[in-house]
Amino acid sequence: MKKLFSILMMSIIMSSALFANGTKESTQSPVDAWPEEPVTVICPWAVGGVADLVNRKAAVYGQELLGQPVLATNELGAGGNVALTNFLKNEANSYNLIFGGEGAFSIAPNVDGSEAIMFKYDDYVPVMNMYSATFVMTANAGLNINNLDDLKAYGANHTCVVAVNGIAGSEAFIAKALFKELGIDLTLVSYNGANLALAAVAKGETEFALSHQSQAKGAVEAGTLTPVTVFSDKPVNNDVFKDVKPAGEYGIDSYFPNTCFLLARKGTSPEVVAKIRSAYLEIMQKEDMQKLFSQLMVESSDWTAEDMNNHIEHVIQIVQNNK
Amino acid sequence: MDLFLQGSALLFNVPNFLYMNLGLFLGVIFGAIPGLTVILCIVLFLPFTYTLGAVESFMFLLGIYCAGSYGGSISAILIKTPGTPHAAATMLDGYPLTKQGKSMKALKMALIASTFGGIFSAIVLLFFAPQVAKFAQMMGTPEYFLVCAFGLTIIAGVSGNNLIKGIIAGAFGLFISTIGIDAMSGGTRFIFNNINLYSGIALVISLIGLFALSEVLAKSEKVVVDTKVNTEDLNKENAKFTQEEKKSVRRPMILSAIIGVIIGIIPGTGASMASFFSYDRARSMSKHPEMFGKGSLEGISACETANNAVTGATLIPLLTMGIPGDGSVAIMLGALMINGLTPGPNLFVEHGPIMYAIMIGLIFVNIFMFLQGKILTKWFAKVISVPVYLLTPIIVMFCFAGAFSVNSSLFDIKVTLVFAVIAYIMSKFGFSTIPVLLGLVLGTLTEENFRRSLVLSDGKWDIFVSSPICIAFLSLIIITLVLIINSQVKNSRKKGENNE
Amino acid sequence: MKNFLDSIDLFIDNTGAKLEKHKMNVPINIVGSILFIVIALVCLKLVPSQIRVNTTSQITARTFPVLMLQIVLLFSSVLLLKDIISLIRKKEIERKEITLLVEVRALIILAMMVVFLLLLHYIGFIFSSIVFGILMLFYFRCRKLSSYIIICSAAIMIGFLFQYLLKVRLP
Repeated sequence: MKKLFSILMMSIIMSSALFANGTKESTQSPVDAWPEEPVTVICPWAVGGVADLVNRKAAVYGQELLGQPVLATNELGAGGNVALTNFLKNEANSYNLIFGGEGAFSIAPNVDGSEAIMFKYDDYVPVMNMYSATFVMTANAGLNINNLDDLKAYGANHTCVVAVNGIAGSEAFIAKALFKELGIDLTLVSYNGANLALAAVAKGETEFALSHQSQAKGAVEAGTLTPVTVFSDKPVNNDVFKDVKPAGEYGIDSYFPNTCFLLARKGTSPEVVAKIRSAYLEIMQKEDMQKLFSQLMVESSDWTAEDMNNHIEHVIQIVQNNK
Repeated sequence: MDLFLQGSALLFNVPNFLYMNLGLFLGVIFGAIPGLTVILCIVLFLPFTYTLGAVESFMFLLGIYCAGSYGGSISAILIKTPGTPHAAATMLDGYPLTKQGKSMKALKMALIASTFGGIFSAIVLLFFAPQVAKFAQMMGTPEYFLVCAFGLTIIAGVSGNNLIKGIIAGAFGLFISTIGIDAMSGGTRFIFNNINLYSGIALVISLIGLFALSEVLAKSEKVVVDTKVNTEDLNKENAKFTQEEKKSVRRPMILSAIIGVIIGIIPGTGASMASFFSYDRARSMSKHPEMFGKGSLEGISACETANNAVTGATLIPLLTMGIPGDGSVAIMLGALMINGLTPGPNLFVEHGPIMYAIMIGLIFVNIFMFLQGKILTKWFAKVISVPVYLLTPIIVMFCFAGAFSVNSSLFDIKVTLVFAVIAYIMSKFGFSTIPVLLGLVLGTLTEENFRRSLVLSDGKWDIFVSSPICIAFLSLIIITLVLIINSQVKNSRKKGENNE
Repeated sequence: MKNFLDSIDLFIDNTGAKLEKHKMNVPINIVGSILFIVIALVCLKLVPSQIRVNTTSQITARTFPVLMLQIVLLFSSVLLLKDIISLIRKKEIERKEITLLVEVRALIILAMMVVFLLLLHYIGFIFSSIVFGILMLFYFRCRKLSSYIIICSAAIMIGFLFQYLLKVRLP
């Protein structure tokens, strides 16, 4: 009961702090004093998702490393695009930070419906990359396809049916690029969520699926799906995905990991960005952060701003080549 | 058996039951307030569970989930505003009962039916999960489409007295459901370059407008005098069920529980579809179909049993295959993941005791829901003794706050107002708004599965007769359509005779 | 003060009485179906600009919405034709009495909700709710001070309930 009460109290305190901060626009404050108020990190994606879990876990260390509490919140809508649009109301050096990734900056502006996108990558300053998640392609276990050589043989005179999460998602573009490079015909089938796409493969409705490793974990463990390849240049070898050969080894380079950038509003001074960056880089090294990463099967990353910009550019290229 | 005992040992701890009851309490409140949904409640309180163990957090979340499924009926019955989309069918008979001064009876029926449905599905989960999962495995995209298409035939049952108008309203709802990004092509539809329409119109947002706010506009019909209901009358109300009533609800409850479980295992369909489905079935099997829509206890029992029978059933694909059946369950997936439990066929092998604790816990969640509900309904029932001139503005405040909270967006409040005006105009011209809601519930699913089927079959239509389940559903649809047309022809003949 | 309020009431009553005389016996099916025909036609007209399609396959993003609009159009036309035929045959058709007064009242309620919405942009939830609550009580001609107190405290309580106990964000 005591625990319960303290949790309730915490929540009241936290939420009141949130409201004190939420609407206020920060004024130009001396850079070294930043942050003078609690910092809010907005996750524009679902509660309970990978980014949200990482955000909330990392926020715990805010006080310790930034000198102010960090509040993790979510603002949903239009696959993150609503929150990214609303974020433009912030001024430089604001105490609000937001997550974003290639979906918002590389894909959304280059597919149908781009007219509705009101923000550009330049409206934000990349602080750091929270994590990278390597995509994996899995096949129905009955097909006995365990690497890209098997796939090439199988696809030589056969149109492959691949399940993806959303026809304009990262997975769809990676799949299109891969099959184009392999010279295999493919039919993309879009499902409403990676879990449903994977289930369709398990049922035999489709033959292959692309997803995060963590999403395919259950079915691979159970032996209903077999991993074909990981979209990386290094092989993956862990308890679940045993010695999976990377696409990079086959000379394929039109792939990218799923990333989660921490962003500040444009014009935020470099010192502030550096301060947040070093704090978050340190947080990412914490033991339980690392444990969470391995549970979620994502990798921590030390990408520089340049790496992040290159990533966005690279994905734009892939999207434009595979529309 | 061993796992059963180990699971029980894990479950019977005081904190588990504390969190369960806290979840139940929050769930009822979020369910009952129009605009506040079960999903929102889970989203808001999920971060709490990050510090809890697997069983504790699941008891908490299941408490919210089950009670939320029941809570929507309270406002549907008392103020003609379904607190959640799946209580919309409950409103059809619940509110007429309130008008007859039988609100306690209606509330009691809803609670009993919800508890029955919940326990039924919990037992199915506990004992038949593997078999049900196998059945779910057999259902693919074309089967999902046919289930939705069958669901659309319900429009005939909720059209009021004019089928043509019902079809118009239903098609209109289906059209509105296509607004936003199209999952199959990635293109946008009717968003007028507005980012707020990008992901379409949330069901709750339209629900608040269609039912709650339009009802407020309809207050213009008469000058509202003090229509205070005497609290004493409320206390005097004889809420005991007669033998006949008890007997009449038995069959619809059992049937609805089965329907709820079947719908529950189909991803994406959810409780609203289940409640409309069973409402329709209950009416067609009832001895007093004419009472439906005028305050039939059978109607309430059917919808409420069904929407709670969904709760346990959605957990089956989640736990056995990692497929979340609806939004709330998708969030629970996160709660499993953070505790290192990966849903999938191996979950029961690796974490048997925890799984059994959760499944047995679900039965207790429903028992405690009943106990809490019994106490809370007495309080909630007092709502109708609040005079209309006070209640109306308070309802609007709740609706606005609720509509805003879905996406933290003022734009959504504008959307609800538009829906309120649409519903008001429609009712002026004798169009029922229930088919619009049905269209909104089923639209995306129907279209997506239809188009996905044709992508899978390379454009060949025979995919819809490719499995025994397909053929079964197809025949059901055909039979239902024949029956509907038949009764229409009979009706118009009768009218013709009367006119002459 | 009381006199002043009474005189307002009197004025409203008189206007109301005048409006109440404006009644129309509306053939609801005819008007309703025309309304839906117009909506369907406008939306169909907008389809090419609002739903862009760049594939040649048989079933596209347009198929389903267009089909739905066509159903609305078709059945509205049937409804319209049915009533027109009945009219020609001098048979009874469904009619409903629409009073101007009722519609003006509905507009007033709608206007109050719009004011509520607009205020939310500027003064936050609790204050907007208080203003709206007072307006509504005024509309219902409530004179009891206690009611005004109840509505204001209800607004404050809802605000606090949402923000602090239920942790829901409010404008």
